[in-house]
Amino acid sequence: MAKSPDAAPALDPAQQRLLATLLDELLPARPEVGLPGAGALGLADAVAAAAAEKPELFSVLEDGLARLATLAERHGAGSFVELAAATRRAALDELGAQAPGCLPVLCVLTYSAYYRDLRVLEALGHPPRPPYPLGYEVPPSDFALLDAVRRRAPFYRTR
Amino acid sequence: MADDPVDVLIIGAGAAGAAFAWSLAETRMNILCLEQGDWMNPADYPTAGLDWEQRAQTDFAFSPNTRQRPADYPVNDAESPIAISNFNAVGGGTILYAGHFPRMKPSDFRVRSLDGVADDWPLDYATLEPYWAENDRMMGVAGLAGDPAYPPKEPTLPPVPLGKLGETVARGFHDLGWHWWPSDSAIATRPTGDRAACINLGPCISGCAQGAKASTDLTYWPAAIRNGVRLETRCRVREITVRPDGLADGVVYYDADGVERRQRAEIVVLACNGVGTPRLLLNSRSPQFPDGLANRSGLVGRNLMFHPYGLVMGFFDEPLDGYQGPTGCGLMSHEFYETDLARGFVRGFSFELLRGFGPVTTALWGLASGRVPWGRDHHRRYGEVIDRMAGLIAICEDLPEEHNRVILDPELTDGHGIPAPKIEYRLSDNSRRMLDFGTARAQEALAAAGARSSFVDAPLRAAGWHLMGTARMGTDPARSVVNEWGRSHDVRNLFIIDGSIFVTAGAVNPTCTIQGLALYIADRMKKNLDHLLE
Ligand SMILES: Cc1cc2nc3c(=O)[nH]c(=O)nc-3n(C[C@H](O)[C@H](O)[C@H](O)COP(=O)(O)OP(=O)(O)OC[C@H]3O[C@@H](n4cnc5c(N)ncnc54)[C@H](O)[C@@H]3O)c2cc1C
Repeated sequence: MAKSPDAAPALDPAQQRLLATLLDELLPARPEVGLPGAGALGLADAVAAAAAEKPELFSVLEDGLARLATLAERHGAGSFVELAAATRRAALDELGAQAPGCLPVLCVLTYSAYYRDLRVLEALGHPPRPPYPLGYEVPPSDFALLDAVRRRAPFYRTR
Repeated sequence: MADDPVDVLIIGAGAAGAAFAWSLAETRMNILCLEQGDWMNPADYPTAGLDWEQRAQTDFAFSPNTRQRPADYPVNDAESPIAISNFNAVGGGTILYAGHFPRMKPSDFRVRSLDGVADDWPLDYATLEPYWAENDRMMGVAGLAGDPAYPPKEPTLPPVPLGKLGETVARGFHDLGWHWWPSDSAIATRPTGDRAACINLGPCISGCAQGAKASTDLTYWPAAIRNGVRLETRCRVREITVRPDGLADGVVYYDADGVERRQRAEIVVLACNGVGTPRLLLNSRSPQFPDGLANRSGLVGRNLMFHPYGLVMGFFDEPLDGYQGPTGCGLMSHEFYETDLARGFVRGFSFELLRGFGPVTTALWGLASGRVPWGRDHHRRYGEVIDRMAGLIAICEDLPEEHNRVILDPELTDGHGIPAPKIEYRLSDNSRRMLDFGTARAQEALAAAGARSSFVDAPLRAAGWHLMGTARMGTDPARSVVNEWGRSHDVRNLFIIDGSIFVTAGAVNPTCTIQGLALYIADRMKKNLDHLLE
């Protein structure tokens, strides 16, 4: 189907699957503390949508996915998704060498989506909500430690 | 009619413009303020959403070049090691400021006499004292009396809580025997007027959704408007115009619809900050003032001072409070404020506590610094830093140097085609040595507090938020732009009331002094109304 000129760019299903796998490589699960991987968390859509806000970001994303697809073929797999874990890592290192700006951009997009996800915040022990309107409790301070300073003679300079 | 002349026309509705308007309102003169930005709605501030950390980097970024809101003008700061930070709205920079609210100190006004550098101010600490106190009452200042680093003063509200993070860092200062004290903070620690109390949202520096931080859209402006001042928003002034006799007679501006308009005035008051004010003066050329208005001294735009910031973040084993609590307000230290030449530089710096980063910022900072890689090791390394960072900032006194300046960019313009400012600034050797010394002491303090390692960023590029010196005050018209109460030496009905008029920078955040000066100038005008232009 022809895209209307104004439509935000989007990934096709194969690219989406590849991106989800890639996200799990960048931010894998850590089950012992209840942290899911970024791909398993379903962040591929959010990452693609954030990239789509700026054409230059989206083209970095598309280019990275295309390169990973080619690298996977070179490693003898039909797609990046089918590669064994160790080979995926090798393919990512090769991607880093080919297009040094690509992974940092993808990481920024991924971290930005991941660390504001309510499930991640909860697993980190942070309240799963924005700061406002509930705010946070910071107990009033006991300034007893100031006594030593209080005893000090004035030390601002006048002459 | 918009073109009816007003008695007093203020340009800029930020920290200084608001205080000045409120003070002068009691004269019942016809006062109008033109502001290029709009009113902000605190409910729209980033902390009301989960994307608060992203928005702090986009529509609430410090740099107008990143933000690119309709009210913003671009600033060419590409060649400066310190970039311009500001906010253009009713409230000006106070929308984003951290609210750290220390006064300057007695020695700051006498650096030539005491240290043989720069110039003395034409006024002193005692002169400003009542105006600081009045400003504290209007803004609401949290703090603790009894600080031996200052002459006696009385904060109006209880101090902000230090939290575990602040108490940890305070212990470091204590163990070293160094001065520290709870910050003076323009933050309502209990309900104040119409403002609710602080609920420790964290990033004060992307706007306070709670309205507890004293931004002037919430403090001075409602009172000034109740007292009859008119404030027109989304009006960008292009130039100040002059009569044949050289007095200012008004401005040309673009209204909210982009229509060019003229506003006549008996008195023009500039409050556009240390970059916006020289920009406007340099853009106001006429046959009488071919080098820019009020610029017969050649000093408009020159002597630009920042406070070079030396940031040190320490990493602790124990979790601290992360970003919770006022970002930049907690404690400060004046241990190294006054000159001690044995340190290798003249004048000094203050320390200010910085709370931790939020979850996204921690991850992005970790990525950029190489401390938190992607992949298998990510979570372990992230766990070592999240909520385990506390920072100290050395706020260094920059000395005035004429080559540090604001000029007009030959090509860059704002959305109305008005030439934009360009920054020419080099860090002096004195400031460099002070930064090195200050960051080393900060590392010592954080280590004493238990930090196992730290990282340093100095000068912090983003920290060009204290803008001073570009239309300095003084008694000699050849060496200054305005006199000792803000009146232009060259144009007797033109006043400047923002940070441009600072003679030196001190080593503390400037806003309470900017406002104190604005109140002082308003008071001098009120007392001299009959012979203001003599
Ligand atoms: C992120 C950040 C943190 C900060 N933290 C602190 C802090 O903790 N403590 C502290 O003391 N200071 C802090 N500051 C600095 C503080 O905001 C400024 O010192 C203060 O706002 C300066 O007051 P001002 O009135 O001189 O200028 P501003 O508050 O900048 O106001 C100038 C106003 O003039 C308007 N204007 C400019 N040009 C035109 C024109 N041509 N036409 C119409 N309107 C115009 C602008 O839109 C703006 O609203 C911080 C600033 C930032 C950005």
